[in-house]
Parts: sequence; C-alpha cells; structure tokens
Amino acid sequence: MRDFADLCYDLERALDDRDRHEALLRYWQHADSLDRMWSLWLLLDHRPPRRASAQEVMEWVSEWTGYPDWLLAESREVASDVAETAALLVVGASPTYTCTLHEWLDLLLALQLKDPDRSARVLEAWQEMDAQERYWFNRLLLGTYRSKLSVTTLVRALAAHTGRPAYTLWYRLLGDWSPAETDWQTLLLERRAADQWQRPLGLILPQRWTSAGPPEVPSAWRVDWWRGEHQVELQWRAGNLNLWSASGAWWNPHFPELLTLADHLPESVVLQAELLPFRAGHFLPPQRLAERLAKKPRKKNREACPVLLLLTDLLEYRGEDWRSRPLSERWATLQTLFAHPTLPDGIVLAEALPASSTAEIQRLHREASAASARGLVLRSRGAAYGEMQYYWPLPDRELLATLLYLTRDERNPARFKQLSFGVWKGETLITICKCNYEPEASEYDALLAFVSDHTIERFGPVVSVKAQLVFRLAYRDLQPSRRRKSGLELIEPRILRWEKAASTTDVPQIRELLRGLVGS
Amino acid sequence: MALLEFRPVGIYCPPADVYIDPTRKVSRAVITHGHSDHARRGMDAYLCTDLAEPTLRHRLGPKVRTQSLTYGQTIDLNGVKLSFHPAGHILGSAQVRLEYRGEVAVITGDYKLDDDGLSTPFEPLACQHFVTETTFALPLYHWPPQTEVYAAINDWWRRNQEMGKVSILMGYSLGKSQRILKHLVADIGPIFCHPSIEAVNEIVRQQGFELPPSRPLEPQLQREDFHGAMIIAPPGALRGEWLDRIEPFTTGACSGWSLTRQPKFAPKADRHFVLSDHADWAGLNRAVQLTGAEHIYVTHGFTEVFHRWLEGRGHQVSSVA
Ligand SMILES: [Zn+2]
Ligand SMILES: [Zn+2]
Repeated sequence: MRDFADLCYDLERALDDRDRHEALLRYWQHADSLDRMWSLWLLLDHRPPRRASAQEVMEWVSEWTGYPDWLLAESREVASDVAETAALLVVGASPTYTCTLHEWLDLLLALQLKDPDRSARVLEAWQEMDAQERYWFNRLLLGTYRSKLSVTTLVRALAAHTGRPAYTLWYRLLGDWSPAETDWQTLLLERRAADQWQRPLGLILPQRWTSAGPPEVPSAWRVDWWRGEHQVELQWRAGNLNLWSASGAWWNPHFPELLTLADHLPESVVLQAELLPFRAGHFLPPQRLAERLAKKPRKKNREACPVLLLLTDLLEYRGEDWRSRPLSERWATLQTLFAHPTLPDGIVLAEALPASSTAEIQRLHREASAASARGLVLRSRGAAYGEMQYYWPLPDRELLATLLYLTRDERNPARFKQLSFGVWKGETLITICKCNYEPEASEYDALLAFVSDHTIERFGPVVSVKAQLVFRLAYRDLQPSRRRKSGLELIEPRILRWEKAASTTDVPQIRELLRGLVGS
Repeated sequence: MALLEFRPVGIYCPPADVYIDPTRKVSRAVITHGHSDHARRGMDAYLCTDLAEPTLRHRLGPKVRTQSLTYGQTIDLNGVKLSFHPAGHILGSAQVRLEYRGEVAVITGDYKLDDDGLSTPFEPLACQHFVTETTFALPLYHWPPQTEVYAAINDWWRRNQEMGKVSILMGYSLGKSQRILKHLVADIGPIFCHPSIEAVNEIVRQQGFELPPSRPLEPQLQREDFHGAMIIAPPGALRGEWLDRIEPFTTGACSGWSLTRQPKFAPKADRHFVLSDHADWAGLNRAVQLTGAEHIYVTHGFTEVFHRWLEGRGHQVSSVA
C-alpha cells in the first residue's frame, strides 16, 4: 500500500503524461500481481463503497489521540480534508510497510457498517501505516478516492509494461471484470481467439490541401463536407462490434447507444465513420462531443449530446481487406450495403456533394460554414484507402482586438505566457479570448516596457493593463457560449501580430462579431 | 516578573537594558539568529553567538557593531547574567538565558530538537519563564525521520537525472539551504547554488564546517553545464532567462509546511519534502516539559492553540507578540 500511496502522490503531482507513464511503470515493476490488479481497478476510478463517515473517522481519531474536540477542530481547519486530518493526527503508529494494497482492500470490502469492531479494525490498520499511506487509505475508507488518470495513459503504460498490443488492453480493461474474480494473466496476458476480431485496422486521416484553388479535374474527386474531429473505425466482425477512435482509443463504453446498431449492419464489415453531435435535425457545436467524451459515459451526458454516425468509407468486407481497392469501388459497395431505406436513427450514409466543376467546388468551399462544416474533404475516386485524400479548410478569420490582461507562467513567473484580448461592447471592452504568446525577444521587451508603465492591477498571476495595444488575431470559427460573459467563444484563436499602428478605435463591437454567428 | 517586558518593539529586559530580536531601532539588541525576522538592520549594537556573527555581518553589512559570545559564556549586564545556548535551528542560533536575582528566563528564538548535523543541537534549560515560538504548534505537525527525507531527496534527484531533468530545490538561503546541501550525495551530479546561498556556504566553510562542493549560478553557465544537476535556490529567485536555460527542470520544496497537501511555502513546487528547522508539536511539548517552567510565553505562529493547550495542562500561559 505504501507503494500505491507513492503512486497516487506521483500521479497527482505529475506535470505531464511522461511523468505519469514513468510512475505507473515504476509501480507495476515492484507490485505483486494481486496489487497490480487492484491498482488497475482503482486507477480506472472504481472504488469500494464508503465504509465510514467523516464524523466517525474524527471520532476514531479522538479515541486514538485523546485530544480535546477544539484541538481536533483547529487541526481540521488547517488540513485539506478529514482524510488528511486523520492521516496526520494518528502519530505514534509504527509503520510496517508490509501490508499490501490488496490486503487493505480486502479489509475495506469486508468492513460491515454494522460491525461493532469497525473502529478497532481501522485503528489497528492505521497503526501499520505511515501518514502518506494513511491518507490514501482514509480516502478509500471515506469513499472520497478519485482517479483522474486518463484511460489512454493507463493503456499506453500497460502496453509498455506487458508487451501486449494496446487495442487488446483497451477492451479488456474496460470490459466487465473485477480484481476479486480474475487475475493479471487471464485479464491481460492470455491470448483469446476474439483478439483477432478486435484488432483495429487504423484510420488514416486526410492531409491538408495545399493548393490555393480547387482540383483541376473535378470529376476525379469525391467531395464531402469536412466537419468533425471525431473519426471512428466501426468493426462488426464475428459477432463483435467495436468502435475505435482515430488515435486508437476504444470507445464502446462511451457510445453504448451505437452498439445496438449491430442488428442493422451487413455481415462482417469494417467502416470508417464520423461522429457528429446532432439533435433534432441540427448539428450541435463540435466541442459538445469533446465535452461528452471528457465526462463519464453516463446517461445524462449521453442525452445532452446525441450523436450521428456518418458512414464515409468501407475498409473490410466479409473478412477481406478492401483498403487497396479504389474509392469508387469501396463506395459503390458501401452504397449497396446500406441502400435499404430502414437505416436506424443515428446512422446515415455520407452523401457526396454535387461538384462537377471547379466553380462548383469553389462555391461549396465558400459556403462550408453555412453547412456547419469547416471546409471540404477531397478524395480521389481512383485511390486506395488513405491515399490522395485531403481536407481543404476554410480560411481563418481575422480580428483586431485589444490587450487587456497578461497571465504569468506558473512555473516561470517572470514570463507572460498568455495574453487576453477584448473587443467593444458599447462603451466598454469585454474579454473574448486568451491566446498563448511566444514572441520574438525584441517584441517581448517592448511589451514588458509597456506593461511596467501601464499596469492597472495585479491579481495572482494575472496583470491587467490599460487598453491601448492592438493585436491581429486569427481564429477558425465562432460559437455561442453560455459560459462566457461575452456570449461567444472563438475557436482556436491565435496571435498573428502586434498591430503597432492600430488603436482601440479600430477594434470592433461584439455585435459585429455576433452577427457572423451561424445557427445558435 | 521584573526580568522581561513584552513591548511592541520586542522583548525587553529592563535591568539589563537590552532588547531581544527587536523589530525597530534600539541601542542594544540581543540576536537569537540571523533570519531577517529576528535580525534587523539599524541597531546601534548587536550581541550574538560567535557562530552566528559572520553570517549576521554578511547580512547586515560590514559596518555594524557586533559583539559575540560562545555558547554557555556569560556576561554581566547590570547584574543580569546573560548567556546563549544552542537552539538547534540553524548554525549559530541561540536561546537567550537571562538570570537576575534568582529568576531565570529563557527566550528560544526559533528552535528544533532534532540534530540536523550542522547546527549545534538544542540544549534544554531549566527556567521559571520560558518564551517559546509556536510556528508549528498543531498536532498535525509531526516530522518524519530526517534520514528518510534526505534519502527521498537524493532519490528524486537521481530519478530526475534519469529523465533528463534538472532538479531545483527551494529553501531559504540561510540555514535550510546549507542543511539540504550537507545531505546531498555529491556523487550524483553537479550542485549549483544561487549566489545568495553560495555566499553563506562560503562563510560556513570558512568557519570550518564541511559541505559538499557546490558552484554558484553564474551568468556564463550554459545549458550543458546543468546536465543532471541539482540547483538550490530561494523560492522565486530563479526566473525568466535562467529558467529557459535550465529547462527541462522540476522543482522541489523543503519546508515544514510541505507536510500538508496545500503547503504555504512554494505551493507550486512539483514535489514537497518535509524538512523543517522548527520544532514540531511533539518537540514543542517536550521542550516545555524539559524546562520545568512555571510560566510559558507563546509567540510567533499558532499562539492561540498552544496557549489553550498548555493552559489545559495546568501551565500558566501568556501570549506575547
Ligand atoms: Zn529562524
Ligand atoms: Zn523566526
């Protein structure tokens, strides 16, 4: 348990995924296989049911220490929570460092709320731990343990530790298992016949179209809207339906509503599709889906953002790899497979855009944003999968905005890392976005000189300055936002340059930006 | 008590006409140790231990008038016998013992009971009046064995090195930094100290104490020089250009505050090590007990908590500023 407590601490303090990766490998290297199983279970954010209330724990601390209530209360004020208060107050214990994680979990799971000896068992357990260990034990005891580790990071580290392919680990980890009923070998290492059915082919995403205009021979290309960031590989093989993200994450747990589609799929296919947030005939802002993915796959979050599965390609059919066949052939087959008019709600076949001339493609490109698209996807009809496919994004939009705040780099407080900009709302300036700032040294010095003369206020790492400097920003899109005071959110804003000749009178009114909003 | 008066300026001993750790200008100041909240500028004359004198002069400038005593050496000030005794806080830190017409008062300044390997270990003194600091007077504060902490620091350094990161440890320049340095395993890699720390290191070495080799951070140092290095610096001292040159790095903080999950000292540090130069709850209680004092005066820290606690244990207690 001591090692697991260290792992929790390391994960909490980690600065990046590499730190997390190393910490996990360090832990698994030394932990026994039972402990490793429980660690997986806990890191996947499972936890035993709460076995004691905060009040009970404080009573037990009082019993242990003999301190008066007022002194316990003073301590509780300074510590961050009851788990920590108890961890630090129970001193004089003699840690043995021998008790393992699974022993603690056995103890916790066996603790019955009605057990009259509950306090004695906890006090006895506390005695064998040091403060760090006690803290994490207490969080398990109080039901306040949480894991914030992403499954992707966990799978990647586990793949490095076990040498098993990440895709196998994904569905095994997120499948139905419990550490009490299965072991490390069976869960992760054992080869199963189904493994081959689950192996993703891997998606190849289009590259950026670099020419200024549309392709010269329009008939050679299939044109689609370029919408989403969420491409998926949908496999239906030998009775297994699997949904993989473009980066190789297993998304079955996130989209249980799509798993029922199996009934409507032709036998043995692997499809490429795009997941789009969609409700009642309208696309929702794309970040809604990102938000859904960041949350737990609960019904509430599911219903807040229903998705549409837009089929765009056929990669495998009846056990045969179709990726080397030309797009025209793949597409024709896809069309026949899904031609019947009874496709269930939530699944549609992408419809090619009518683009028989360069002028038409040009027009479609211009109108992309009216169709809630970010541009066009161009795929050569004669090309094998993954070849000659491009996205042609809308040009970025530009905007003049004035500098209002600067934010210091937390790790290097002498540097400003981000700048916040505003536009007019009537007579006042209102913040609309925050951009990372990585200027040339000379520009940075000039900015520092301005800041030192024009600081209005400091609060923590943020400095507000007199609104005077004007920057040209680029952004991909605008979205209405209820969370923001300005009522809108700039998508992917970035600084183009400091417009030294411009003044705040050149900065637009927010009305003018809002007028450009689509939908809402 | 005729021996001590607690004035806004500091603790005053009327018969001897001296102030202990005064906060504003007085003619004669008795200084427990060189930390800036105890040793301030502007006094006409300073009295401190011989071990504290060089750093005190370094901090306050060569023109100050200082006089020093060794631990246990007594001087007579208008019939008051004054002596310094080890406080174990930092090198040269002292408790001040005052004796006048059979009454004995001890003022601790800052202190700890653990032997840190550099400062002379705390010496308990019998007295009637005991003035104690209370920086960590809460039962939460219980220091882990220091050997474990030093081992953890060295492990952390090695691990950072393996990951290609420079280690930066933050601690105050006087006292804490030398204690950290003293316990680093110099074989692991090069050790750099912020100039304010290296200046103190030099003084300490000249006083005959051994410290592992360290180099000052100097402008001509390049990225390559920091490969696998440990840097000791006061919090907030490294910034901008320096950090760019040291990147990638990771930071650690050494303090008693590091014990809790929301530390007051260097809260943004990547890693926290519990290493304090003050007594923990058990230490404070033990010190009080060892003096056998009738009257305890609490100051600096969780005064209300310690006041109430000691009163509950039958002591006569006063809170003093
Ligand atoms: Zn001090
Ligand atoms: Zn102090």
